[in-house]
Amino acid sequence: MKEFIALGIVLIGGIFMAFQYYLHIPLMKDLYNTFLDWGIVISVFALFIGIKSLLQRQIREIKEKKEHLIFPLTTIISFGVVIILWLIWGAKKDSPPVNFIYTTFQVPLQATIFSLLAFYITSASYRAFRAKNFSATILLITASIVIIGRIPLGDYLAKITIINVGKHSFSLLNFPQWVQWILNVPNVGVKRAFKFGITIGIILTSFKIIFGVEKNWLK
Amino acid sequence: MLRKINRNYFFLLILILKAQASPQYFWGLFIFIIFLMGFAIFYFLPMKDVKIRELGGINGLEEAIGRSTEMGKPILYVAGLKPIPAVSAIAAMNILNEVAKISARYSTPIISPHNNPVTMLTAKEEIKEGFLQGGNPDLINTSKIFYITDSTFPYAVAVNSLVNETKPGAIFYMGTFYAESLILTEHAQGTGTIQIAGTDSVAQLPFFIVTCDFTLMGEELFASTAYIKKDTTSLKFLFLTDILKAFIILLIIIYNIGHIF
Repeated sequence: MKEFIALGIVLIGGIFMAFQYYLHIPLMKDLYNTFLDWGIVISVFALFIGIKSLLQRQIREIKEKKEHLIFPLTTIISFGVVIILWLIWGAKKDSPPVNFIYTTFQVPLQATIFSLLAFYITSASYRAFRAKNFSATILLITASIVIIGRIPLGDYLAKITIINVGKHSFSLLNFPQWVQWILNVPNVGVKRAFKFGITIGIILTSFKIIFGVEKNWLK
Repeated sequence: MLRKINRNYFFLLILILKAQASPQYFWGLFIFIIFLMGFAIFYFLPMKDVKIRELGGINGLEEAIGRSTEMGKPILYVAGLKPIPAVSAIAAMNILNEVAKISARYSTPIISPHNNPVTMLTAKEEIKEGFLQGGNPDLINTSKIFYITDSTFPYAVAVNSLVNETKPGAIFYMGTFYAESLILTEHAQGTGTIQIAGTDSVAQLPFFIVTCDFTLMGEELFASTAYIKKDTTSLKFLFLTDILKAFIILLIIIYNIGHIF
């Protein structure tokens, strides 16, 4: 019975959500916004489950006396400090302690991790650009063209290889133009093909959920 | 009673009249017709002896878990960054169920860190069910399925730290990923673990292809449910996807031909 009610709500809600996008009826828009607000309220309750899970795991690690106790201890202390500060000064973005924690700790730490991406890209590219077979060789040549076209060397080569044929002049090694063609034609074409497949996949999976064929989310 | 019905009709009429005329009405009608056509085909379609293209990523699940078992190591399952209402997260949960079934057969534990509490709860149920179906309910350990944080980079760092700590034999990345995809996979690549990914994030696909052993690309992630279950309804939906694709490609071709002349 519970499953039947849940599936009924999903069926009605799903069809409503799909059609409200195409039909500009004010009442439907209001209902849609109300449903979105409900989603926010539910996600707040879900956050408590997340906090419980996080703290349980950290406390378990301390109890089990694992090798690096500093990590669970730091997590618990940081969690407690931020909660206390928020309770005293309020959970506003512009409150001084919250702002201090955000700009002094969170932003630099996140920027550090993000900057690691450059090194990871380099090491991944080094592995990918080995001409092991025909496909890898094409990848290597294409990547080389894109790299040269994006650095000052590409512009320099394009300038020194300009030749004049009658009234027209063109560059023999116009790397920047080749890069634009690679990015605008084959790259966009393949990306669109992927997006096209993904979108249809999402639509059909949504239908499966709306009509109760896909029910694993009910568990 | 009659007056009540009349009042309701009057209310409905006001609603219709208040509706704004928009070109989106056309698209709504268009999609509705495609939807009806699709379901007509869906109901009358005899689905016997249908062959699905081999999905290396799904075939590789057993190999990866088997290797992990031989090494005596756990497996790690990362279910993407989009929470459970997202279709990619639901597809990730379907694959998790299959992973749990295989793990139960091989008696290999699963570790699954999450960035959303709702996804975490669903994953717990999927793993429980998978282990029950795989005939190894004693191995269910829900403490290994936990929430870390909603933030992208702290989550990536925590997963990398888990990889260092537990040294998993196989890692699965299924769902939607953003900038953290390469941070996760390139770090794990250094540990020599088998990595299988499946994502609908087009921008992250090259990173997964370079660093992982198998990758489910785009729609393959959604097709994996039908590939695993192989039940008639899922197969029909998969076939419907192809019909829809062919129909829209045909429309694009007709539009372009019309544009030329």
